[in-house]
Amino acid sequence: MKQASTLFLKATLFVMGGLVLAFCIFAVPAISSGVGVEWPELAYLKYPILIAGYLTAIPFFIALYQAFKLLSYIDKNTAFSVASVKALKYIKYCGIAMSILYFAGMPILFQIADADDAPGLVLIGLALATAPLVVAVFAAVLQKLLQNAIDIKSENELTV
Amino acid sequence: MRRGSIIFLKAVTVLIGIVALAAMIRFPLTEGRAVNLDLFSIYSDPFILYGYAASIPFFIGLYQVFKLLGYIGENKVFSPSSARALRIIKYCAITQSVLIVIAALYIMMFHAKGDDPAGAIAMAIVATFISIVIATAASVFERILQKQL
Repeated sequence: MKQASTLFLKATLFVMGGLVLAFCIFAVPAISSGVGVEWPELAYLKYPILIAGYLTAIPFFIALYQAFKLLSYIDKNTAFSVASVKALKYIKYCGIAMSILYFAGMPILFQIADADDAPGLVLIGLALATAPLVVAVFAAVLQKLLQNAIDIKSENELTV
Repeated sequence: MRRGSIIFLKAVTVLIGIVALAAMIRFPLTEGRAVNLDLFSIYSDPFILYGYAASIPFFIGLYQVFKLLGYIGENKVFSPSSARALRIIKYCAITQSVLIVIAALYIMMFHAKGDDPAGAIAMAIVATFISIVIATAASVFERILQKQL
């Protein structure tokens, strides 16, 4: 049962990774060249979109890999170990990096939203930029909890 | 630092709840058929009422997340009460996925002729999937916690 649930979560990570990979391969180049076709005055955004799109994918995949490792630790019953604290730390940094990159990319989105007359786009962008931050904070809390649990455990072992 | 992050996560939880509630109240008013109806008939549509009923597990789950964050803040994560909160989250997520599947089946069977509900069904599939993922994650967390108690 336990194996099955972590296996399912691992499969979910693969699905997420596959979707983002497909997005990177097909959608990002299409968007970056499509913006210039739709609004010729925004053609200069072609490379910024391309770079921003691929740059944000890097921390995402690192975080995904760390989450995968974390699930493996849970499988092996070594969730309360220094290694999983480290994985959570990496997830935290990746979430922060993604959030910073998204917020840095907001000016691009502003111009597209302006050209498309779709202010909702900015709102969606803000939500997308905040989501990694939420993940990062959650990872930070988990990291703290885990660290405390490990500290208490080693203390107990020392006293006994 | 810890207190700040807990408050941040609590704020996000509340924000999600408010946005969901606002969307649920607003959405029926924007549908095409609502133009010719008075307020009461808009909201007394059986499917919309079902939507409100089906959102109950979502809000219960959200409330349990809020409570869980409170336990973390009070340094009481490794307690039976937080294991209980996780268990309730798990059951809520399972119920939610079943309720969404029922709604999707209803749309599939009774949608208007010539109306293509592909988008609604796709959204239902994604939402069901997310609920199941949440249920699984909650059960994994619960088991880890239980082992530590």
